[in-house]
Amino acid sequence: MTPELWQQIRSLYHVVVEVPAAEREAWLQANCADPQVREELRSLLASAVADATLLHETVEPAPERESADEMRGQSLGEFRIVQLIGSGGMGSVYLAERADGGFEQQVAIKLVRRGLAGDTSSRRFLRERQILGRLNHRHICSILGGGLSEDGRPYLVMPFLEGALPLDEYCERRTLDVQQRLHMFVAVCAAVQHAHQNLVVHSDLKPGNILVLPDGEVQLVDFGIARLLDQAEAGLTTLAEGGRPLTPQYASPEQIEGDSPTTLSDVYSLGVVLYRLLTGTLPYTVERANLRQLAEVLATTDPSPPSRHRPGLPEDLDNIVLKAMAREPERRYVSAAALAEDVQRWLAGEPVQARPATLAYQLGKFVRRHRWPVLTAGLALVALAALATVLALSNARIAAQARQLQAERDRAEATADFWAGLFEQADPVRAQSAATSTAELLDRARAQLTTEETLSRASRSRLLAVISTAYWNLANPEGALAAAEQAVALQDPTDPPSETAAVVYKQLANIAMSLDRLEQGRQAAEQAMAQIEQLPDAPPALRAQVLDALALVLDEQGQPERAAELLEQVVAIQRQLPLEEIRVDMATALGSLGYMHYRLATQTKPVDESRLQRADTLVAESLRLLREAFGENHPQVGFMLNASGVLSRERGNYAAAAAHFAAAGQIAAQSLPDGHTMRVSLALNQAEMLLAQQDWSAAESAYAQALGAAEQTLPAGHPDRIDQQLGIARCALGAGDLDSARQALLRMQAALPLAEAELPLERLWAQLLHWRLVAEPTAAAQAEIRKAVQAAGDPAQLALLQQLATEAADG
Amino acid sequence: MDEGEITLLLNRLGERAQGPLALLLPAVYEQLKSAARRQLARERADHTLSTTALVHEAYLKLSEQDGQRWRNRDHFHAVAAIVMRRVLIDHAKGVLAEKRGSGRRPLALEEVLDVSEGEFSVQHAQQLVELDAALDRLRRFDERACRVVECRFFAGLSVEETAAALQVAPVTVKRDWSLARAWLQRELAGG
Repeated sequence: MTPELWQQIRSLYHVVVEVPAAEREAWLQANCADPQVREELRSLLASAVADATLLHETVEPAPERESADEMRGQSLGEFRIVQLIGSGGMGSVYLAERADGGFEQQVAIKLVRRGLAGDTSSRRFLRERQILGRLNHRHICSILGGGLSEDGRPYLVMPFLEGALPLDEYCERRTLDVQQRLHMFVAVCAAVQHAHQNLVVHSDLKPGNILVLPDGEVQLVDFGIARLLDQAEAGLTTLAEGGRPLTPQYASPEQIEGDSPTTLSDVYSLGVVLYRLLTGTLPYTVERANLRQLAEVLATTDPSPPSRHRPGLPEDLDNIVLKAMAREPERRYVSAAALAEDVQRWLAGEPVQARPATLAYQLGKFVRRHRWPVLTAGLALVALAALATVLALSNARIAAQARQLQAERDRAEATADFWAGLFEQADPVRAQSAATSTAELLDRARAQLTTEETLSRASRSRLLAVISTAYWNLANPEGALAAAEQAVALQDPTDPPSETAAVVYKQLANIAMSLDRLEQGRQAAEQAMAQIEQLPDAPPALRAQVLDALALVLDEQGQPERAAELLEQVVAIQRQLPLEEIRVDMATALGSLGYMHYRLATQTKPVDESRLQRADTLVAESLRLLREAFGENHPQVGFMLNASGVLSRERGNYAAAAAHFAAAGQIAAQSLPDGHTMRVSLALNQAEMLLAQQDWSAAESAYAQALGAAEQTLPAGHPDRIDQQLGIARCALGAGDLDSARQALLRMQAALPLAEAELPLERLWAQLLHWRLVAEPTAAAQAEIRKAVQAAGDPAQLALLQQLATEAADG
Repeated sequence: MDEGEITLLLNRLGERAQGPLALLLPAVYEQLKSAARRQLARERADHTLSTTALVHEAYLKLSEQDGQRWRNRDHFHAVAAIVMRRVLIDHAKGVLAEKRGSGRRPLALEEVLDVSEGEFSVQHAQQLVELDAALDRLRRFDERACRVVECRFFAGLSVEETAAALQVAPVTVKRDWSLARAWLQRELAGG
């Protein structure tokens, strides 16, 4: 073989391989003059088993089909054909009834098309019969019998599913809501799981093979290309491999590439089915016949989240679908049952397991960072509960982008095999046991990494950092902290500086800071910085993350100016990087920076207008990035809108503030549960603004709304609740309702002794007394108030009170 | 790994083999070899060998030892694929030398390629050695296809990783892989 000859063969091969098998010979004759090349091509085509034939199955011309008339009235065993129901590549399906008229029974008969009998298709029929014989499940269409027609074609007899519709069509026609669709989908998963447990892979799951009877009963049909997984029948499966039909829109990437279908490729197809049910559309639009193009698309692009097509669809469902459809099988649900469980968790209102795999700690940081006014003290108390909710709502798109970060990618690759091993142990089909929860997997991984000898110390450290993030995703902060600490413990201070060390210390810094372990966070952030300073070639994205962590520490230590400088550096670095990779990081940094400028601006009197202006610009940019990354209705967008509102209010632009708060409130109402602190905070912000506008009744109803939510979740001494009592009192005073005002103030007074020590208690007491004096201008009431204060025995308060009384008397 | 072999490998790597890479080749070889041996010797029921895991692990180890020089993963992959082929073939030859003479049945190419997941038997060893020879023949007229097979099969790299390592488009990798597989399949069936 000469290179020149080979080059010729090569270029012809790639063309002819795209030609349908039946037409290849003619093509070769027409396009290839050299008999030697032609022979070589023939022989190569014969050797190219799986991928070449796979590429052609779906573009072969439709086979000769018998007309319905031709078959009508013909007998097959004890049945007589009534009419054609449908036909496909393999053959046709007929409605038939008993020929002997003994008792009425209508059945569906599937008959191999003419010209296929005797080859692989017959074997496929035989296999379907064997496979169905193994399966006995209420959602799997059973088999009644089968045989050979007079002209030697095999057929299968199945129950006639009268009035059955393909799953998607059924859902559309009955206009089922999301919940109802999900219940149907769970039934489908149960059927698939049953097949898997019997070592059968369906391998062609799509709505057309999932029929729904008029009473809503689901029936899984067409196991024609199903595969048996056990060894004894492997030979049989291989025999039928020759021409393998498949429905490209629902096939997994590995099937498209020509790999054998597995239980996990069925999980992928289920993901596509769910996608279709939720959106009415398919994740990828590719011309049907072009498998090659589809393979390219699958290999290079992630499906857009279902909510892209159906705005308002909860992020959890996005995450579930995208996890089922993960490109790498090991990142999918381990089984159809695990997928169904997650859907059921969602239906029950519980947190789902499907979460984006990375960057979640940044969400934690985000929440922590964006304690814009009113949110301030509230968050610390309920930070963990809030985090669990917010994290559950975070978006898979971001995780996909984050995976592109070099550092993240290295980490993911290094760990892929480790994870694969873990999931292998947990694969219910192999282990014959129930699906293991993600939490258990993480515990096991962490235990294993403490004893694992084959991985290097650095790899283990890096893996533990990943596991720490995963724990954080599962709202398990103790696990996250323990794993991060373990990761740091594997670092030897005498080692030369490395990116791994920087990543690991940064992880601990982020987790510790988020858990208010300030000293630990400070040490870790400084360690990370020390590593980065010795690594001039470290990836800029990592450098930015470390600076960001350090900025948070400095801010906590009361150095906001220095923190703001660092964050300006972070943003400057990020502006040099491809936006795709750092969009969320950058939005976070911009938002934090905006907050710092806001605080610095309002610390001075008069307010520093230029800083306020800068904060406004930063927040606007952050908001834009967040919308790009998460869509309109993500809670993070809500946070940032809240910030915009605060800034507008600060600058006296009440109309703009009102719009921002209202938009944020709407998002919170859609995406966060009742009583969530974020919703309380937003209602409070809105109320305060209305109060400033002296719109007493609107403010009062906003306060009442916030109070209703807060009573469910917040303790009586919580600052938000104290703020609310005060606000309601002021609304009542403004409206001239002294009675209501007095009651609200008394409630506030009762709550103050329970309040957290870190609150500005003196100021609150002063405000309370001030407004009480305003509300109760009678001498008797004033005497009573004085008595209460004297009983408290605090001279400072007494002095304050006297001052206020004088002011009130003057006023 | 002696001087001659190193020179041979460096020649195959062409201009990418300049500088620090040359110094590290023996280290890559040693690293992969000991890792492979350890994995195969580990008391596991099925003696599985995950080449992908080996390559990743070797990368981590070496980059840890020598962080700066191995920062380019694609670069490393290009080297590792060739080295991994050597490691596996050496191992296969070792297996054959130990168990000379046991019967052989022809294996399909797919089965041989499955060595990364299946049992490393005498048959596999034999087939590997034959594959090695066939690959050398392929290389005479299609060097790139040979490299693609090394990356995809011996190093367990994905299409994208292979494309990056060889600095060609993914579609080229897929085409080379498809044609090379057909060609090798025929060679092995005939041989």
